[in-house]
Amino acid sequence: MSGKRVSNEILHNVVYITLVSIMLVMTASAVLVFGSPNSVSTNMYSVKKMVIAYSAYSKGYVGSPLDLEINVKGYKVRIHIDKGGAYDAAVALIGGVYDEGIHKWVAITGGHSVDSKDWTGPLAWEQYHITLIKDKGMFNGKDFIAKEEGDMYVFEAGAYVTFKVVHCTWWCISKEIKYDNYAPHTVVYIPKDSIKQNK
Amino acid sequence: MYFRKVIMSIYISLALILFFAAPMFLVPAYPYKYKLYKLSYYESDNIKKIEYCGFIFLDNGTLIEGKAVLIVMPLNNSFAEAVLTLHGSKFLGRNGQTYIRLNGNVTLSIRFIVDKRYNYAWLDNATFIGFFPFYIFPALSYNNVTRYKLVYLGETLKVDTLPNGKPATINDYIRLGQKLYRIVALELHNSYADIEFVYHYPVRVNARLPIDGVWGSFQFSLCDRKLLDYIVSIDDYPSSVTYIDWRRLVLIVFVFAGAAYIAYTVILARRRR
Repeated sequence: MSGKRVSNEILHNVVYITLVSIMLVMTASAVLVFGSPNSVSTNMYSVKKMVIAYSAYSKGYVGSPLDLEINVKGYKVRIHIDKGGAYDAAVALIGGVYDEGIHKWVAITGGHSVDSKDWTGPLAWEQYHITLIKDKGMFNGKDFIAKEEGDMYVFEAGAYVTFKVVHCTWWCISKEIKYDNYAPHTVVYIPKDSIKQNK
Repeated sequence: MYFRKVIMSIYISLALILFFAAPMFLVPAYPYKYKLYKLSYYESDNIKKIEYCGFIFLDNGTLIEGKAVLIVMPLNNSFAEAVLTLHGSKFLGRNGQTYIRLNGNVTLSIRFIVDKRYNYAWLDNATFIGFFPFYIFPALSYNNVTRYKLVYLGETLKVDTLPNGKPATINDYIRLGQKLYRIVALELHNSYADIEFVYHYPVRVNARLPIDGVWGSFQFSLCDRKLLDYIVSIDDYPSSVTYIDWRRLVLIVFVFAGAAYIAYTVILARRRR
């Protein structure tokens, strides 16, 4: 019995030491990989990815409040919905990457995103069904455009979004239909000299 | 006897005629007697003047009491760009036979592209009112919207209807500063344009036009606080429509009846044992 216990303890120690050493190696390699650009290059500043402007619309129908996170092309915004059980939401956003070393924007992008959620009550007596029936970019089908105006660049993001909301009772015998229509639209003017030009 | 037969046959034929002719009396008369004039602005003497830059409409008594400055810049043979700036203390619009007045100083600037072939000026007694789709004429209420046939770029505009046959309204959300407006609007659309409006007034317009062989788009979104307040005050379109889904009702009744029948037969079979 005692020999078996000793061998178990040895096995436990071996596994423990192996795991700890793997973690140490991973941490060291991560520091080397992600930490090296700052230490190697002459640029002492970092680049920052940030949301420049956004326009958000939402409507909640049932349930408790909710903070919803919506992702538009890798940029995230958090919007508050009063009734978060069943809701619809649309966001248009312009985001960019700012280089603090050269004090210029190195990338600017934008677009839109939608989200909705259905809800069914106890025994399916009452239900909310929310479906997206129209979702198109505002600018001839595109949801993001960039144009020049004098010494400025104008970036615009926008879309036309329509949700069909069906509120059912009596197992969907009685139906209340409405349409929520959102046109989230946002504009940003940025001077040409604060955007890094690709030559 | 003979006379009685003749009188009876006259009665019967009269009843038959009345029965078949009844729909003639039931057809409602159109509440509006205005006509839609199809005049391109360069074809009419009255409208030709607006080709001059900075022509001022003063107190014309139709849309605005104050002044409206319209500048038209030709883009090519087919299209022109028009910028209309309205300054006024009283805006007038027609709702049936009555005038709607909007008080307070309002400045509204709208920029749009006019198709010289199809995008006509709206005229009432040969007086300029505005361009469609930036002014709807006549006022379209929830009940009469399906009676009118409107055309944009040679294609009929239609309103979507719900399964119960009623027009579908849409809830437009517009945020100005901290205030969120909800406007219940109707939408006219064809393959070139989506026009959301309340009576005379467009709330949002998204349209596509072929300019120099390239499809361009233009948007109009109402962002005048006073006009939005005014539109909210006259907006009486229903925000939602409730109806009974009869097919679903029949289905549910059959399901319940079937369940009850199965339960009944099971109970009966147990009793017999």
